[in-house]
Amino acid sequence: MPRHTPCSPRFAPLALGVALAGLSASPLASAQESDITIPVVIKATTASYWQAVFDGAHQAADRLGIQIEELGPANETEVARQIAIMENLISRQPSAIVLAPVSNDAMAGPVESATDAGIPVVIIDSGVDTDRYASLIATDNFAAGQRAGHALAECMERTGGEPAGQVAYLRTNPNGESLVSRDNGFLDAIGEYPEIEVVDNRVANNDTAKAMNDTLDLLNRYPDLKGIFADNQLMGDGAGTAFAEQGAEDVCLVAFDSSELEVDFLRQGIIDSLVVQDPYMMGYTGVWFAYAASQGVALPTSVDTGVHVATTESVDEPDFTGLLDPKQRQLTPYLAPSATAAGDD
Amino acid sequence: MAAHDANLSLGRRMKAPAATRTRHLRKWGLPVETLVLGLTLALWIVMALTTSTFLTANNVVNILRQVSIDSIIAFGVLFPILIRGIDLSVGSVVALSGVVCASLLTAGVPIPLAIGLTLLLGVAIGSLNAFSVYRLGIPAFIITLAGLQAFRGGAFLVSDGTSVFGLPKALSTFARAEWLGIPSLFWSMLIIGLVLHFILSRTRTGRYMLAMGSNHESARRAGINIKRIVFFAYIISSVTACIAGMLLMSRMSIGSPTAGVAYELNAIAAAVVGGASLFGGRGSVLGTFIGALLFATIANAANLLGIDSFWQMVATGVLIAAVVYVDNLHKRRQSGVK
Amino acid sequence: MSLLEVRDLKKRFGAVEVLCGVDLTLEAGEVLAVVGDNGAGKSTLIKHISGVYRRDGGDISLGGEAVSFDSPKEARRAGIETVYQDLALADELSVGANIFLGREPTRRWLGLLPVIDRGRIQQETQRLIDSIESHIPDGATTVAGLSGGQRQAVAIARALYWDAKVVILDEPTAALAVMERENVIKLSRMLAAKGVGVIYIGHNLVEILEVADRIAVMYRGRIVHVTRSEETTQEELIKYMTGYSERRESAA
Ligand SMILES: Nc1ncnc2c1ncn2[C@@H]1O[C@H](COP(=O)(O)OP(=O)(O)OP(=O)(O)O)[C@@H](O)[C@H]1O
Ligand SMILES: [Mg+2]
Repeated sequence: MPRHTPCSPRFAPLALGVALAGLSASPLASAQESDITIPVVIKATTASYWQAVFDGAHQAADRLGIQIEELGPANETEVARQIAIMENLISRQPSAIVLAPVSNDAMAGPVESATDAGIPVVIIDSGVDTDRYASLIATDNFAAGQRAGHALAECMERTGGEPAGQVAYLRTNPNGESLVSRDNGFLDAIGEYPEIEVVDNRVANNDTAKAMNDTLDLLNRYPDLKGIFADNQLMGDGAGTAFAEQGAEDVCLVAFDSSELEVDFLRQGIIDSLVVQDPYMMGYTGVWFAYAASQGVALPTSVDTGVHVATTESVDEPDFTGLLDPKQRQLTPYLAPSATAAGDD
Repeated sequence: MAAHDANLSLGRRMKAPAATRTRHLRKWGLPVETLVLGLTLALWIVMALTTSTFLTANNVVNILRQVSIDSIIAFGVLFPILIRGIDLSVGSVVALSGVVCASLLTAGVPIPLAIGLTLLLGVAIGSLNAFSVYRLGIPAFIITLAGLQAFRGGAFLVSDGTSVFGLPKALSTFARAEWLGIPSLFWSMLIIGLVLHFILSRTRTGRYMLAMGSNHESARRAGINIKRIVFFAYIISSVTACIAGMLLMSRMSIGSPTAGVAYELNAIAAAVVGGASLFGGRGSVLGTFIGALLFATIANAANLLGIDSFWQMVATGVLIAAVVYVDNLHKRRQSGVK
Repeated sequence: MSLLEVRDLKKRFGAVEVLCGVDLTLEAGEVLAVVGDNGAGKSTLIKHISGVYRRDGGDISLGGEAVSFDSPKEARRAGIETVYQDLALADELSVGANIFLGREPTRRWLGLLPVIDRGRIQQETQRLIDSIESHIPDGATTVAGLSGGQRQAVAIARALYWDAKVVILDEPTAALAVMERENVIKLSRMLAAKGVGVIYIGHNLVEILEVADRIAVMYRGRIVHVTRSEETTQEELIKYMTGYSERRESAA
């Protein structure tokens, strides 16, 4: 128990951020190499996806001989928390900031303020409603959503003979730009299959248990349901668990990202395809770009880090090892992940 | 609380024609539990008639599963409420116990020992809350709000910010098991509910909790060991939260530090809608179950009817307000003629 | 030997001397009324007897033995029950649960676990309610639904049941309607008839003259007059309550 009584919900995530930063900070020696510290502000300290971003960021920092500071709210829904983090950072004047904005509109103000204060902001993962940032390094979420839609249709074709029937999708929250474009991309791709009908969507508030209950209810309500798309990792955990509990073998499940649980479900065939991004590369590139920007280097305004679709068949291929489990990610030549070729087919 | 006391003194002043009117009013002043039970039944009937999917074995089993963990947490939270306290930390304790138990298991600790240690953690957390309330005199609302923050932080620290994966098979299949066609989760809820109901309605400890919540001074003068009761109430709350945390862990087959966000509010709402008074002294395990069942039914119905998730939240909120309002009306009427 | 004897009881709160040597005796089976103006020290006096305050000087003896209580609980254990002005009943509990609060009879459930013997509580409560004729419908109703007089009856019934030697009633009728006052007076007499010594604090002299065997008048921290109630009148009591006797003394 902390000695000082926390009286605002801001306390724990901050303490956590600081504590994690403390745990993973590089030894003192490298601190003497350079006193540049780049804050990396992510969306949710609680998802393994974001841990991979931090891992990549650390890798880049080690190579550059600088420090990073791990920051972010505990949950993607805590918009106010992330705004507060940005405000605090701006007053501290770091040389650059790497930010994964939790909300495209709400975070536009803080990003502009930082830019106005002369701090270059490198946006990673999701877009933001302003163009006053140094660079955007992200998955093209619309394209990623399309990949998910096609993957679901392919699975339905494999199991049912044709891409036809009812599908539904689980939404993390309707607030983040990346998630909204992802969902839109999914709907866009599904629109290409006239026989597929999107019958429902459920907002599960980034709560795995709720995602699970919602999935059970969807399976129950639509006995003829042929497919479900879960639009982030916690949704995938929940939907997969529901499928495992219900034994819904004939329903296709496509999910995003790659928690250990999701990969396990993928291996068992409970999840049919995982659309994996490259969070490690986002963190790595983000820090690299932020450092470059702080040195006055001009940057490309946007970089797509790409997505890859892993299926039950391809899960154990070596190219996917590092993408599915970022702890095993080997750094390949700059911005040219070796899995691209395999993943893009 | 001020309003509460005002009611009392008001009641004393207008005592004259009391006896007859009280009896008359009690006839139609129905207790809130009955109302909520009626509402739940009505919802079940409407859903059964209007959808083909609601009253299926599969869906009923789903509801039973969904209501189980929520109920267990709500049963626990009921006890601090009974003694005019509150426990806001249970949602975070659910997460902490899940990741602690999962971490112990993945580190190779035998299952019974891991469960035992997690339950001990519950005892420790409950004792800490009770100590702060009873000995340090910190309001329960404040200290458990601090717990809500701290234990969530603890869950992140223990799990390094990510889900703990790789539970032994026995545990991850437990939550999926069924006995006699009824999910194991529901059995767990039933056993815990019966034990707590027994304590509350049949033992001195239970009665002293009600007495203390109803009139602290009267309980003190009656020579009741207040300290023991406070510790008991908060330990029950934390330990049941730990049990719920482990069951949720088993159901999700991961220990997740994000589990149980805002569950304390659902639990408190279930207890209150089920007839518990936030002023203490009143509430029951059965009523709490009915409250939790109503919320689970609403969530399930919203999914089956395809009602927007946000409308579901609004409806739940309106329902809580309405039930508490009706309950207050009923009580004011009662104390006004006392 | 008197049931309760108070000798030369002294108490000061800071600079204020509230009790300046109070002498009082209470016999078993009598109702002793203590009257006096607001602030005379009546409540302070009885709080010493019921173990709430510690005295600065003087002695209290119960049944011939010197006593000194550290808490209301100790006083209660020695047989001194106090019905407080606020009654201290748990509203949400039943009449029976209140009467037995803290002293519930238990039985073994399945020969193992001790559980409250609800049957016995119900029975005894019903018997008690019948014996005090207080129009309480039944022992299972919650106290919240009772009238002020009925609540008073529950509090007194509690004292009655637990065989108190001394029962202290601090302004028991202050908040009651006329009809209900009669009932409290009846209950007080009933207690006395059972051999209990009753200390009855009140302001209403008509009521006091009706209920009391003896009356003690307090004035500024002293008992200035004690009389049998049939030997006095309202006028005389008021004289003592307003300090008439003191003024006469100091004039002399
Ligand atoms: N705890 C205390 N601290 C200081 N002074 C006190 C305290 N309790 C009582 N007094 C004072 O002692 C005096 C006697 O008070 P007490 O309550 O005994 O009077 P009372 O005879 O019961 O009056 P009433 O008829 O109004 O109930 C009053 O002047 C009161 O202000
Ligand atoms: Mg007084």
